[in-house]
Amino acid sequence: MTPRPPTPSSNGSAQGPTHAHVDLDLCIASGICAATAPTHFTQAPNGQARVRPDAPPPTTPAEDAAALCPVEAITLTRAPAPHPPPKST
Amino acid sequence: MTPQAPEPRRQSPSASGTRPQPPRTSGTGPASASTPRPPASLDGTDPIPKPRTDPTPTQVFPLPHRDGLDPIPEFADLRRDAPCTRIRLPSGDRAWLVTRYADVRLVLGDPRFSRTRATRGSGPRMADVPTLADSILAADPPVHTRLRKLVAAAFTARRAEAMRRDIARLVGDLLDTVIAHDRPADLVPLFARPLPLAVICDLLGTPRHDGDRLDAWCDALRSLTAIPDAAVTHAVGEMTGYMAGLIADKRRRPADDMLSVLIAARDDEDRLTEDELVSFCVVLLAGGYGTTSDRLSGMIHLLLAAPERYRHIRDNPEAIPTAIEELLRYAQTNIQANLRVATEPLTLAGVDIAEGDAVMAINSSANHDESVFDTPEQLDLTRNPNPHLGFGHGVHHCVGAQLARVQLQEALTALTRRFPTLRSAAPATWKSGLKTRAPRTLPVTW
Ligand code: HEM
Ligand code: HEM
Ligand code: SF4
Repeated sequence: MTPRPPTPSSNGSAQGPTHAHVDLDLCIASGICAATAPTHFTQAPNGQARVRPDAPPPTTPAEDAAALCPVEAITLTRAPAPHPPPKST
Repeated sequence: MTPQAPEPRRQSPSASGTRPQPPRTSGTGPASASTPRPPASLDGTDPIPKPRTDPTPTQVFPLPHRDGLDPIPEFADLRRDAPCTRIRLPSGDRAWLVTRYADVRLVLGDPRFSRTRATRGSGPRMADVPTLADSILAADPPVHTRLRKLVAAAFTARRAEAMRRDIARLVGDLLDTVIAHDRPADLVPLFARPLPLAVICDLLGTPRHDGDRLDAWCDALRSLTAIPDAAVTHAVGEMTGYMAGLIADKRRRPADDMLSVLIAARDDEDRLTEDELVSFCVVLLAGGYGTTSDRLSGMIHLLLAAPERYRHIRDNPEAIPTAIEELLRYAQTNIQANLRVATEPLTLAGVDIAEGDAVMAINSSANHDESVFDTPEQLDLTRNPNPHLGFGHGVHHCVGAQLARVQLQEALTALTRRFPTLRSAAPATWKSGLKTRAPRTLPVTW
C-alpha cells in the first residue's frame, strides 16, 4: 500500500500537483502531516510544519496529509507551466 | 526531595525531529551492555527493590493518587533525573516511561513507534483488557490514514466553527437549568457532562439519553486500578454491543449524521470493515464524551480554586481561548498514556530501547517541561505561545480537538457571563484509580 514516488516525466509536466505549501498562520503544529508524509513534511522546532526542501512532487501521502490537516493549512498546487501549454484549454 | 538517581548515561543527544532513521544493524549497540544504574525511587528515599528477572530498575506505576490537577512532583523528578525510565505496568509487563517534551513529541510523531503493535498480537500491555485493535486509535498508517480520512473533513476547524452557534445554544439551555437549580449546585452532572454528551451524540446521530450508562462505561475504560480487568472487559463488551445496536438502527433509518456517513462508507464503498465501523464509533463516543467532560469540570475547578483566575476570564472574555490553552497545558489530567511499541532499536533520552519494547510517553508531563515552558508550575492564563501536547501529537493528534476547543470556549464564556459571582461551595471530590484525574463532583454557588 505504500505509494511510490512518481516517475519524473521527461518533459517536466508531472501528473497531479507539483508543489506543497503550508500556511503557517493556520498550522497548529499537530504533527499529523510530518507523520503521515515524512518525505514531504517535517517540523520546525516549534512543531509547525515545513515542506521539506528536498521534497519530491506531492504523492498520495502528501495528498493524504493535506486531507487530514485539521486546519486545512496544506495546499497542493501545480507549478505554473514554464512554457505555454501545448494544447489550448 | 533529593533524588538519588544519577543522570542516565547519555549515549547521544536526545533524538529530535521526526525523520525515520535507518535501522541500526547491531542490536542495541554498546551501551546496552550497561551496568544497571541504581534504582531511583519516586519519593527519592528508599531504592525500590528490583526484581531478579529484570536487569533494569523498575519504577512503581501508577504513581500514588493525588486529588486535584496540579503538577505531579514525581514527573518533575523523572524529567530531571530519569527522563526515560523502566516501569512495571499493572499487567506485570515492562515499559519505558518518557516524560520530557522533546522525547514525548518524538514518540508520538515518529513512525518507529507503533500503536498497532501495542494493540495486536502478543506484546506488552497495560492490563489484560480489550485494546479495541480495529479502532482508529490502534491503527498505524496506512490503515490509520484510510480511517481518519473518513471523518477528517467533518472535524476541521472550519466545521467546528460552523457548529459554534448550536453549541452556544446548548450551553445556554444547560445554564438555564443550573440557574433554576437550588444552591449549591453540582456542575458535573448539570453542565460538564451533558454538554459534550449532547454535542457528540448530535454529531454521530445517536440518542442523548444514555449518559448514565456511557459515564459508567467511560470510567470503566479509564480504569487503571479502580476496577478489575474483567470488569473493564465487560464494560467494553457492553459498550460495543450498545454501539452495534445503534448502528443496526441507523442502517434502517439513515440520516444526515456521521454514523450514516460511516455506515455508507462500509456498506456502499467497502472502505472499512464491520469491526472497524463499530470500533470507530465507540472511540468517537468515548473519545468525545468523557475527555471533554473531564476537561471542562477540571477547568472550572482550577478557575474557582483561585478566584482571581475566574475574574480574569470573566472580565476579559476575549482572553478565553488563550486561557483555555493554558488550562489544557497546566491540568495534569492524564497520568498515563496509550502505549506505543518500538518497531526497531533506537535511543531515547540516552537510553537504549529494544525493538518490541513498550513506551509510555506522558503528554501531561511534557506540558510541564521546564526547558519548553517558563515557570511551568504556574498557571498563567495569558501564556502565549503555548505549544502544549494536551491533544497529543502526530497521526493520532486528537481528531476532536477543534470541536473540543469550541465547546470549552462557549462553555466558559457563557458561564462567566451568566454567573459573574460563581464560587466553590465545597471542595470538589475526585475520581481515583483512573488513567485520568477529574472532579467527580463540583459543588458551586453564586
Ligand atoms: C474499548 C474502548 C476504548 C475506547 C473507545 C477508547 C477511546 C479513547 C480515545 C478516543 C482516546 C483519546 C482521547 C483521550 O486521550 O482520552 C483514548 C485515550 C485514552 N484511553 Fe482509551 N479507548 C478504549 C480503550 C481503552 C481502554 C481499555 C482503556 C483503559 C483500560 C482506555 C483508557 C484511555 C485513557 C485513559 C486515555 C487517555 C484519557 C485522557 O487523556 O483523558 N482506553 N481512549
Ligand atoms: C478536551 C477534550 C479532549 C482531549 C483533551 C482529547 C485528547 C486526545 C488525545 C491526547 C488524543 C491522542 C491519544 C493518543 O495519541 O494516544 C486524542 C485522540 C482522539 N480523540 Fe480526543 N480529546 C478531546 C476531545 C475529543 C472529542 C470532542 C472527540 C470527538 C468528537 C475526540 C475524539 C478523538 C479520537 C477519535 C481520537 C483518536 C484519533 C486518532 O487515532 O487518529 N476527542 N484525543
Ligand atoms: S497537519 Fe496541518 S496543522 Fe498539523 S502540523 Fe501539518 S500543517 Fe500544521
